Amino acid sequence: MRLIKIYSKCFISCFVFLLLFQTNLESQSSTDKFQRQYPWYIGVSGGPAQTNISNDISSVIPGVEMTGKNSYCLSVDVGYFFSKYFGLSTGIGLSPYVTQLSLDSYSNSFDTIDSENESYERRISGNDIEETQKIYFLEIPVLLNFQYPFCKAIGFFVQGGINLAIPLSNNYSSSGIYSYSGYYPAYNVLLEDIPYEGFKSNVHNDVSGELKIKTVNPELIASGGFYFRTEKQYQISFGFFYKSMLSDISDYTPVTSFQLSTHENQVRSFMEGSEKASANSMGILISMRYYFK
Amino acid sequence: MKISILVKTLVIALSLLANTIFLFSQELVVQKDVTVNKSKCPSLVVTPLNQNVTSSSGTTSFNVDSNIEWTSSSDQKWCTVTPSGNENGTITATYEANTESGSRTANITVSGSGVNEVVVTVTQLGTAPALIVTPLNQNVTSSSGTTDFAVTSNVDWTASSNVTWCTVTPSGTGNGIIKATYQENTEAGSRTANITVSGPGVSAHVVTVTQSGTAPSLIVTPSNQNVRSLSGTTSFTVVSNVEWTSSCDETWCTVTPSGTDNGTIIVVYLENTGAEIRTATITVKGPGVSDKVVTVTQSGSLSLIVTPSNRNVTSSMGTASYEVTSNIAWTSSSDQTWCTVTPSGTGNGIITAAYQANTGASSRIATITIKGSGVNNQVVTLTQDEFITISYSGSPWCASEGIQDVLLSGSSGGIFSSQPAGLSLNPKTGAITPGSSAAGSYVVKYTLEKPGGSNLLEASTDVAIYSSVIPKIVIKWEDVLICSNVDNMFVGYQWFNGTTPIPGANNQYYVSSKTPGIYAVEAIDKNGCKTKSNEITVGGASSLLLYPNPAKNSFKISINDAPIGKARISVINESGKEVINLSTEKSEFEFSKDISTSNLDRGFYLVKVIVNEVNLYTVKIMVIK
Repeated sequence: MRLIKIYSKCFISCFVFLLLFQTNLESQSSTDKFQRQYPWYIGVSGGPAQTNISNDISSVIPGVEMTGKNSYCLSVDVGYFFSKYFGLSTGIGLSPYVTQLSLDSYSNSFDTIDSENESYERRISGNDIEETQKIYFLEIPVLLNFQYPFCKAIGFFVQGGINLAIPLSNNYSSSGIYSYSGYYPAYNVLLEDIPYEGFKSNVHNDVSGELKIKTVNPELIASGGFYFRTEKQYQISFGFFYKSMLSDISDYTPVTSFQLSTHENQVRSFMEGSEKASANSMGILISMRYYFK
Repeated sequence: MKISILVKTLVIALSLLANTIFLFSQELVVQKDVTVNKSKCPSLVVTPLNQNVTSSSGTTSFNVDSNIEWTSSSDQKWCTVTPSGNENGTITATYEANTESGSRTANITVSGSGVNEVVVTVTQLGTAPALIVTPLNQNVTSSSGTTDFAVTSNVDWTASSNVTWCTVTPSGTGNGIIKATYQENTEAGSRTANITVSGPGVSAHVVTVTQSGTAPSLIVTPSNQNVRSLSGTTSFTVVSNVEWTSSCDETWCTVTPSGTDNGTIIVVYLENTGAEIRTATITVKGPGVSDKVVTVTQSGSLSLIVTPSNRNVTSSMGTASYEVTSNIAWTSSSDQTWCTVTPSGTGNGIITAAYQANTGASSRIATITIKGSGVNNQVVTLTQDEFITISYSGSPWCASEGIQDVLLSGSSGGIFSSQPAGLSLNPKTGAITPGSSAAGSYVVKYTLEKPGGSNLLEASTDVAIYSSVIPKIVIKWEDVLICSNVDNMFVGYQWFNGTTPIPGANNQYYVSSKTPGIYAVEAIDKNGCKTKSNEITVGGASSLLLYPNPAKNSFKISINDAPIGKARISVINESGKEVINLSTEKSEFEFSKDISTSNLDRGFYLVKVIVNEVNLYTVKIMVIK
């Protein structure tokens, strides 16, 4: 949220700055003429990115470390410049978000009953736990474009707007070594290594599953860089982009007592226990446009 | 015959001759004695003092016992006497007939040189009836005996006594003798018997027999009592048959004032604070006896008395004191280094003996000698008890431990006791039986009464018996034996199958793997006490095992039991609806079957396996998704 505010302020400041200098810019008559001749464009863009899915789980399971993973983004867009400097664009894109969560050690317990209907406290401990979350978002952007030509062939551009991120694929895979035991307060005994009652030690769980992600997620997007016009109607640009989800992307129902795992070969995603999940990415943007009437 | 008579006559004649010679020799001795007496003291005795004679004329005589020349004369003409004599002799009185009716008396006076005149009488009856009894009284001793009264009468007479202890000749005629026979007088006082003699025509005559009583006596012993200078009492023994009184002539001495017959005179005397000896005279008086005098002699100065003679003290260090009663300077010393005393003093004082603690197992004695000039040394002692301790090793004890013996330092023979109640303690040996004791802390006390009973030695120690908790075991899934340890009492375990410890089975629970046996656990509590649990019998692999439980994708049914044949597997949900029904063959002892849970919802299910429609196995399973 803090980053979003910072980016929004930057974007608005740049926009005001460009409006103030519009008069001077208007003096560059050749560029102005081109823009009035070819206001529409269509383009493709893409580039490598560093993505991160943030699981707010520290209050539930402390010690979880999250590491962003390399990914990419691809998009096709169409835009219209209604003046020499400003225009609007939209399109469609694909952005995989990948992150890895690791936890050195884990322990938890909960009250349950056994096969003889006797209450006991099931205790779970784990170590070397790793989870990889991967979400493919289909993105539909609505962007405000600003460009400032330094000369006939080179200019500066800035884009900013909102993406509507729709998950296409959302999976997680988890691995770790777990031990399950049962504490019976009636006897003050901790039972271990009784397989037929699910009390096993050092079980290597390797589980994969599907994440529950909201269907539509608003995402802030901002990018900027330099463009170069190689031909009269072709333009290539280089820049950076930053995207960040504006709301909780998790669609899990909050639970009062989150159990990462309760039995062998049953491991939940960290996201299920998180209070909130978010995603962001940052990378290099390379785009090509074709301007037409 | 003639010869025999001649011999007898000769013998008689010889006997008479021998007697004559003997009497002659006796006469010589008497004469010799008289000769001695004559030279010493002139005497003149005439007896009897009176001669009663009848009214007719005649003579009578008086015996004269004398060692001088004497003369006699009568004051009556009708009576004439022998006029004189020398030494012993006889006075013959010749009297004429009395023609008067009344009696008459002639006095005969006998006189000699250097002696008083002696008057005797001749009483002559008249012609009237007369009765004269003489003497009027006879004094006799307290012993039994007889005495005589002379009766001069011319009539028949009778005599009688007024007491039983004296009897008399009952009667007679004319002149005669009344013999009075009397018994012994055991009384102290004299007594008198009246004898009445009466006859016709004469007045009765009363004569008496006066018998003296037993002689009064008063004996007081000893004649002197020596006493010390301190105040006190002493006594004298009185042997008497009369009432007596006693008195002391000194103010520092008081006595029992009086008594009767035998008794004791208690003399209470005050302390003699002076240096000189003093004497009190006690006079004992009684009727008819002479005064008896005894004395009390009380010593004076130069005294040194130390009391008590012994002090019994405990084994702890401390002080003891002795009282010195003296009127001189004195010194004291101890023969033991562990006991020091007040070195010296003058007059009355206190000797303080300071003694160290006795850490030995035996009592000890210090002798304290007190010396003074002119008096005997005084010796007192200080007896210090031994140091008694008792202890036990290994306390606190578990209830499972054996009998614990006491370690006693000091004299045995005392009594062991404990507080509070609950400890199994042998009062004589001090042995403790933890198994019979209640858990808790106790104080064991050993009490020893020393000979003489002056001191009571005590020692005590603390012991404790741990509370024992009997572990309880339960079985789950007919396989896992669990020892309950809710209060965290137990810290160690050893599982047993029967009496055999199971190697490595040292956890709180033991997975029997359905091995048949009688299982129990010996739990070790926090105090290190081992206690064995109840027993649980595992009958063997006759039950159904399901695992994993809870099951996610599938679970396995495992039976390890004897029945072989057709097996029917039924899974029933919580609503009681049978959701799985499978038939299979159990061809071996061990049987297993995988059951998929793909068609089962989350929840609990009851799994039944029936083999040959006879053997039923049931168990619950939880299915998760």
